[in-house]
Amino acid sequence: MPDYRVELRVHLRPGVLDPAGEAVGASLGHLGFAVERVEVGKLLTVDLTADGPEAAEAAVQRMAKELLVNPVLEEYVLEVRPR
Amino acid sequence: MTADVVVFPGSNCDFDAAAALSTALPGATVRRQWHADLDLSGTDLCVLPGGFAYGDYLRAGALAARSPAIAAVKALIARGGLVLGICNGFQVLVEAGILPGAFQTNSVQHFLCRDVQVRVCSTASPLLAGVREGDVLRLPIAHQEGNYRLTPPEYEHLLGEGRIALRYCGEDGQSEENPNGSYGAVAGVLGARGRVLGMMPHPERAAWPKIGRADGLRILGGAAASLAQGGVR
Repeated sequence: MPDYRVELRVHLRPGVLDPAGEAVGASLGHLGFAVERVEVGKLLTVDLTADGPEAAEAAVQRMAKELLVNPVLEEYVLEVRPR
Repeated sequence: MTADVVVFPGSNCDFDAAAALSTALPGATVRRQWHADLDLSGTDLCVLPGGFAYGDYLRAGALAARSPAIAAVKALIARGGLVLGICNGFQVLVEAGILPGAFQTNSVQHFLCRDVQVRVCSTASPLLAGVREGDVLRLPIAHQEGNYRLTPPEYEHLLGEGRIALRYCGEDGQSEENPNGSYGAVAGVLGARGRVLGMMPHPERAAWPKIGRADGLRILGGAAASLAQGGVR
């Protein structure tokens, strides 16, 4: 079976307080950068073997649902690549 | 009675919790058990202690909530046993889906380590047998992600079932105070049927009468009376 790398980008849902993003944004302001907003998210890289890209995506979707993402606060996008 | 404290990798309030339980529950057998070998078959009360289980990697409590220990905790609840989650233990119970809601970083954006007052809003649990509605307890908090989020319908549902157990409040017990931004200033909630209590403040750090800090004993000792009247097994 082929090898895949799935990148899962997790970010807070719109409207959810992002203290890390606010703090980083404020620090950028202290350095003189003009930024409207900074958001701090997470990147998870999952390497796995699967029957095909659809199967790899489906597996990581299940992982997201069961552990990797808290749907109350977070959203995610994922990208599947051959490895 | 038997009280067990679950030890996850990264738990750091387990010794304090066990010591405080020994004070609060005279005559009880109090044990600390490693999560991977957890045996709750003879347990009346299981405590998930504070700390940073699994380093709080991914999200606070997320990895501990997938430990095999959680199946044992759910089985204990199913047979009527009592579960108390303190701070990180509360976060684990929420991540495990045993209690509703989610935790976010404190609204003040930094770690909070200080005393707070909480008002008792419900006593619909054997775990709250030692307090009365309206009582104000002085307990320490120590957390970064204590901003407890509920949706308005979830909150109303819990309120209707008497499951909002503790709220942060000012020193007079009436005025509003909300150190971490929690929805409805909720500091503790009950699970269905009152068998589970999750709370952010640390009762085990306020269990020492000789230094004038004993309000935590009223939580930790509360279960003793109801358990003595027949136990939960």
